[in-house]
Amino acid sequence: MKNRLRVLRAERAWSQADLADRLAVSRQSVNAIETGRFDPSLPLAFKLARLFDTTIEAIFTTDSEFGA
Amino acid sequence: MLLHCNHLSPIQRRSGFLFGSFLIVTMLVFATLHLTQEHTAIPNTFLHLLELLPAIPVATMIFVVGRYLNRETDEFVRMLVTQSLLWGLGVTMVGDIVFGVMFEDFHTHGLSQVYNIDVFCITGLIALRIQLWRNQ
Repeated sequence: MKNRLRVLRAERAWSQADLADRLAVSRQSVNAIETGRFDPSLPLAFKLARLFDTTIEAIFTTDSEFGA
Repeated sequence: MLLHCNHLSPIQRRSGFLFGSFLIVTMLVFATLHLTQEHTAIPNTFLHLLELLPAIPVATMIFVVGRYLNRETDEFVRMLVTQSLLWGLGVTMVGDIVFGVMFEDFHTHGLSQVYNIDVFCITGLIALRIQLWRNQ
């Protein structure tokens, strides 16, 4: 699973710690999601989508979609 | 300290404190039981009842970990803790089997099973520390 979290975060000039605070998770969680080492659950994905005022599909894409 | 961290949530801090406290209680119960067995003449029936005592703090520790995992809101941290517990369990079981076979087949003195909980805790904590370091 790939994601645009780093880009979306950079657009808002948020650090990983800022995003972690907004999501009420640890900074390690944000880092792991950004680097693709951890796929968030559906509730956390919805939380991210709401926070960035977009859809889950706009943030997360499967590897095959990314390559297409 | 192995798990020294300034960013622990209240539930992590409380669970860590409870887990550590019950680990100390477990060790004290083991030591007391050992001294009782060596230095007092207690009827066998009562001694067997006393031997069940160390199970109480160990069961409480498992309850504390279960409650923590249930209440941890950070799913990534929950995954790291679960993986660390599995590492602890795996190393303990492998060690137990290896020393068990050595004891059975070669009649050598292996590690006492009394130390299983210590091996489990130490391996689990080291695994958690490595996981946290890898995911900084």
